[in-house]
Amino acid sequence: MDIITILFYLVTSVIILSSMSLVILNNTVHAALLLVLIFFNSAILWLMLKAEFLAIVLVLVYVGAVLVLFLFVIMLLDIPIKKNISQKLYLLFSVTISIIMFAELYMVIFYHDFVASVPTSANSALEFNNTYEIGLSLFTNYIFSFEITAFILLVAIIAAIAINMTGRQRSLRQDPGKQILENKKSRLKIIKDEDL
Amino acid sequence: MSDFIFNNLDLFFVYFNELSTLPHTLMLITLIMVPLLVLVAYYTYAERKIIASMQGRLGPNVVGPKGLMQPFADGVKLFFKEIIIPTDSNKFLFLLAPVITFTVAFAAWAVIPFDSVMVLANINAGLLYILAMTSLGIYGIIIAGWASNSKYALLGAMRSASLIIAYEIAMGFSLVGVIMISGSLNLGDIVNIQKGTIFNWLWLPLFPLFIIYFIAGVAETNRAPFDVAEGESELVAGFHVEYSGMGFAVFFIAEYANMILISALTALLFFGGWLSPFSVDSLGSFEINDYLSHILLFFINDGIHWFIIKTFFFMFCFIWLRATFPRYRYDQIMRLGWKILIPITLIWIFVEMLLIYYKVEPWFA
Repeated sequence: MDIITILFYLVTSVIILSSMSLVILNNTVHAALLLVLIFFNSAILWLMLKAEFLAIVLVLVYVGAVLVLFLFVIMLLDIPIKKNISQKLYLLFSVTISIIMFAELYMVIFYHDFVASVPTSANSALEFNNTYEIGLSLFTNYIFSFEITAFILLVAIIAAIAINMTGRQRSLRQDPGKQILENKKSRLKIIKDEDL
Repeated sequence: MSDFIFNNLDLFFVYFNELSTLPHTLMLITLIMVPLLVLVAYYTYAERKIIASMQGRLGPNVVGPKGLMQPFADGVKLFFKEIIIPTDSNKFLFLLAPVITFTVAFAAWAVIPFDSVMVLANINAGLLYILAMTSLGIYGIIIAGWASNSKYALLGAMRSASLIIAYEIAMGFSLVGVIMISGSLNLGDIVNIQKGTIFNWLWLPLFPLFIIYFIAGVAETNRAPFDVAEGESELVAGFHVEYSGMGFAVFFIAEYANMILISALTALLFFGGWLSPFSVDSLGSFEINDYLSHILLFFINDGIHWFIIKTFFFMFCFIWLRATFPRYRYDQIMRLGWKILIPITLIWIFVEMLLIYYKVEPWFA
């Protein structure tokens, strides 16, 4: 037991406990904040595996961008906290899903040689540059899957915008071009006394 | 039993060895934190003084000589004020929000190199770490706005969040330009490729990106002219409307620390950090025997003083902007961020890519 092992158990127990309470909690905002905690601790796990690039990107992308949007939507919608929902149907589904997931994890961990399948030699070098290596393999060996992922994300963005573009415009919007072109003549009309 | 104790005693010493780097690191952290907090205190004073003289007023001049003790008087006042927690607010999150904001604002300083050797954590992905930390600052704002149980606070938080998301993209893209030239995410490496004179610094080849970075930095810190999140004429004070005493003070300190951070980053990424604007070789060889020229040579050479001077200049720019420009309207900010700044950065990244591909000199290192 060295200090890294203690840290590992601390971090994993935080992850497990907060994922459990994430499912149980009624308050959606609290649940989203627990998800932030889980992501943060997962980033620490990755840091301990010397994957500093992935850890920082996890914090940057998931915590810094995706979950902010989650929280944003949850807070704007103001979902009422439900107290007594009938839980029998939920129970059935959740128990089934957890049994399946447990079985899968069990098979992966105990029937598959986990340690042997992890390559070890690469990151032992002292001057190993995580970011560089990931960039190299992303843009050489995995360039097609990388580009396809980017394309799918782009399609998703365009689809989201397209859905929102349909229908009439409900909000009043300022046209900045028109605003700039306004001058004194178009706004002010001087009426002399004798005209009245 | 005694075996157990002895074994654990051994373990204790093992931990002790591992922990022995802790006091060293803690001392370094203190060496960064304390000057930073003092700088924050005097930054507020400088802001009031500079804006006052720009508007033909005197500014704080009563507490201490020339009002120099004013920040501490303010601090003491805020410290002794009652902390009021609004009814039906979420108490835990309400108290957690300032802590998050404060922690994140200071955590980013871990990777800032003050000098060629003076850096707390010289990590490879330093720039990414800073982006990650600045993007976390938004949580303090959102949580504060939500936990306050106040419409004004929630509206301010939402405005601030959408503003930060919009400008973070422009900021990230302008940093992509820096990464493309330097070929590294390490802040020390980025400074080192700018060696030479003032014309070798990255502000010249990346001028549009530098301007956009600074604008996005001003927006990220919620400063004027992008301070719709506070918008005192519409939202009272935005997300921190319900905070009193130390809670408010902590938000305040974090905001100023973030401004200093953005200034320091601008100095590092675009203005060569600790590098001197003159090249010592280009000055020719002059006699170095008297006391004065020694001092002169020390000043001209690279060093932390250049970094401080550059950072102070950008800190001044923040105040200058605040005293000069009126506040943007919310839709104008969104338009500027999404429709002007982001397309410019995208086009510039493309142009830079072509320049690097065809090996044009200042871009292709």
